[in-house]
Amino acid sequence: MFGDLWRFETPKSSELDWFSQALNEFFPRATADIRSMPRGAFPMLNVGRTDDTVFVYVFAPGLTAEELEVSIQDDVLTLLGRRGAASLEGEQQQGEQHKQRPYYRQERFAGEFARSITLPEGVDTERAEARAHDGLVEIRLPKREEVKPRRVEIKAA
Amino acid sequence: MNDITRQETSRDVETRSTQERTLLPAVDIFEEDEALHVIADMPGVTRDTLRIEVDQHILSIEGDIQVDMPEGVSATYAEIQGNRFARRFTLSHEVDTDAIRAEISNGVLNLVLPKRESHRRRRIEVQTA
Repeated sequence: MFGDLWRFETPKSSELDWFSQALNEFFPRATADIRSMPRGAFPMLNVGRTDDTVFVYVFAPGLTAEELEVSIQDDVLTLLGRRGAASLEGEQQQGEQHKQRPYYRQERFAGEFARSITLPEGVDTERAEARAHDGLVEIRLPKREEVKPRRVEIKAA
Repeated sequence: MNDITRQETSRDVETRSTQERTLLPAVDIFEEDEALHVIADMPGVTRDTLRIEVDQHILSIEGDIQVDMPEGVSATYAEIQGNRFARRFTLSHEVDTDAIRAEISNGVLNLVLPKRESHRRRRIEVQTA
């Protein structure tokens, strides 16, 4: 049950504008959602769904629950926050002024971020819940009753 | 030579989909007088699923991503397509491999690779004649 994130299978492409590429592949004249963002912006996101809930997984390493602001307006989910540059223990107090030191690699995101995604329609934002553990935030958004799949009974004539 | 992106144990097409998918964690590496520091983003990795090894001066960092995903979730969009992080680095001889310290909190790994005493920067006293 754990560790099967690869179920999130999507067309493989390392190009930045993944979303429009995938769209163009299937619908040559389609346009990208105005809110779609280049793949790989911080924090990274996965979105999944079951019949009654939409799940958003936010990969936000180094951020505590207090440091990530999650808000929903209409069908747009926004993530706001700030992640400081790498610092050693005991340097935190110095705030912005950290020591200059030679870097060999600097790949991790640092600074302010704001990311929005459009949620599928019919999410009940009042009942949304978010939980954080180990730099991963899981947001559960239950679907409203009227958009849940319903079974239609067939009556005998 | 520094990095591995994917460990393929088999080239068999049939088993490909069941293989673990490995991601490369983003890292910051910097140096101080006494040690090298490696900071790696590994969201979803806990202390229990993290493995750090040094073998023949190769440092390997590995961790499984723990996501509590209910049964029957289907994907709509995914930027993280893998269930583990892995990355390797070659260490120089000055690193005291017995003294490496590691700590993970909120999905960020902090590794300290202390340099051997003999390789540290030293101040030389100038004596008066």
